[in-house]
Amino acid sequence: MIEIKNLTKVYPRGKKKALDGVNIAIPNGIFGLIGRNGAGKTTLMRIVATVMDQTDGVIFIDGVDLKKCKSDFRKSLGYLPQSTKLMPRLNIVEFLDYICVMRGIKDKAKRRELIASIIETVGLVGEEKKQLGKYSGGMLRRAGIAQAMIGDPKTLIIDEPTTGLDPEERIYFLNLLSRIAQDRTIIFSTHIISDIELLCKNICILELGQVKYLGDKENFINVLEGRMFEHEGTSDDEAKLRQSAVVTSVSYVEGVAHIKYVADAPVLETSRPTEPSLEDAYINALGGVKR
Amino acid sequence: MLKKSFKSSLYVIPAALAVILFSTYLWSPSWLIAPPPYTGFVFQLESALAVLLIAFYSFILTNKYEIELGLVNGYGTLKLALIKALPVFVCSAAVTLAAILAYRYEPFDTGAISNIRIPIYVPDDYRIYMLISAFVTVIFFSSLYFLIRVILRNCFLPIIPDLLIVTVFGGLNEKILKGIADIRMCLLDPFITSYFVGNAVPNEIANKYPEMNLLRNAWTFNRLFFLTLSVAFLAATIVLLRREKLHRGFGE
Ligand SMILES: Nc1ncnc2c1ncn2[C@@H]1O[C@H](COP(=O)(O)OP(=O)(O)OP(=O)(O)O)[C@@H](O)[C@H]1O
Ligand SMILES: [Mg+2]
Repeated sequence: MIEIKNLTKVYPRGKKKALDGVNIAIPNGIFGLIGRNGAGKTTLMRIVATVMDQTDGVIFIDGVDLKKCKSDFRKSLGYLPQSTKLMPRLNIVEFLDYICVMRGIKDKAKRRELIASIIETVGLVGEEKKQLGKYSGGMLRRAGIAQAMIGDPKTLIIDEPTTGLDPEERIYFLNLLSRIAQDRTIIFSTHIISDIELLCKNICILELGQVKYLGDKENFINVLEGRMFEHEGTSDDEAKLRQSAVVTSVSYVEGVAHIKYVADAPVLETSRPTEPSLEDAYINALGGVKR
Repeated sequence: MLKKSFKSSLYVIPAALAVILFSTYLWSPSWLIAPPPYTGFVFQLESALAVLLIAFYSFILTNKYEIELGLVNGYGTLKLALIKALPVFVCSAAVTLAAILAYRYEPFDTGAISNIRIPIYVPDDYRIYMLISAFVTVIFFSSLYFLIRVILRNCFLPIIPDLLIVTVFGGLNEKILKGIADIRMCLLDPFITSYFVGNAVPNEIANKYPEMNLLRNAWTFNRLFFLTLSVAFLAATIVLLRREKLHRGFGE
């Protein structure tokens, strides 16, 4: 159980707060962190991963202040940073060996065995000779996960693993995550809503360093039950709806505006009630479409 | 991990050798073993090494990503930096040692160096002096590089102060030798060995030349001064690296 209390981060030369009084309790299982670019996801994850200090606030790991159990926590932590450069001149075996040594796995035979099994798990068999610099984005992400899994950590922190992957690779990657999720806590960040749909039970929405929603994925949608409407009309209707409701999506098909919005009662007469999606809930939490 | 790091740093040996040979050739112009006009070989060796080393460091030092992984996987920033820098240092030290051992000083013909105003005294055990000297010079330039690198969190900018010092003092060095600049400036000259070790001068010779008398303890003081500076720079670097926060932007 990871409890984040009142976490605040101001970067040395940054003016605004990258995190502003964040309170989150992260239970076991896969926990999804969603937010736009610059919301503070990476900042939060780096602080929890102990690679950076917070300006204010406390993090408790099973009730113990993280600052007091830093080295113990690191031993039970796997971390995949957002940047995917890894070490371009090493191949996957050398790279994982390097991490194994860092992890304190001294026995050579054991390392070889462990590395082979992890390469198998992440589906990189046959790519052992290639330098990481020549890997594709998807392969790099797999190599990153492989690295994070060494030492069988109880907690995995994975920063935006699905960004820039093709749909097939993305699904593969999400499956991989759910496969390795047993008995682990995985914190993973994304700005793709459907990642969450497939994977997580609990989610947190960050916006400008603040928590916009925290809790169960189902509840998140259920709040909109009976308050979600769709409307077909003109751009005048769109303007009207934007003023008096929270618009979650607008699309024009052959000159007709298809608008979905959240309101306590239908704003325009011809609007029909509709089922809310996770995407609608997300946009609603962020205050509706801006553009 | 150190072993792996050594293996991947081996390229430093031929690279350093090539640069030293080339710069000595430019200076003399003749190859290593031949006697240069004065002990410019040492100056050339030290400045070439200093510049070369920092260039190597700037490419090999740990990147931000590696430090993030390192921290989580149980290695501090300091330890990672050491693992990366040490092999480069050792490899280039080996080349320096070889170059100094191969170097043979031959007393020069005074006619050929008429523009040199400082009497140069080369003791019999000149190799030891050269070694100590080169070591201090290289440590000085490296430590300065490291400190600025850690403060600025940038690999290339810290080369500038180092190059600046090499340029400024390379010029000063020559001016002192030719008698244009005050000889007392040599106390602050990182390349003091170019006009060699005054304190090894026997009394009879020293008494004959006032400049030589001035230079007598200069070498020792100068080397101690630079060594102290280097130790201070290194200590400051270590303190900063141990705080582990510096990983942010380190290596970018
Ligand atoms: N090293 C830094 N120095 C100063 N400000 C920073 C630094 N890193 C991030 N920030 C700022 O902190 C805020 C949060 O950034 P963060 O990287 O945590 O966002 P993010 O949610 O991970 O975004 P993305 O989806 O683009 O990865 C942003 O406003 C960003 O500009
Ligand atoms: Mg990020």
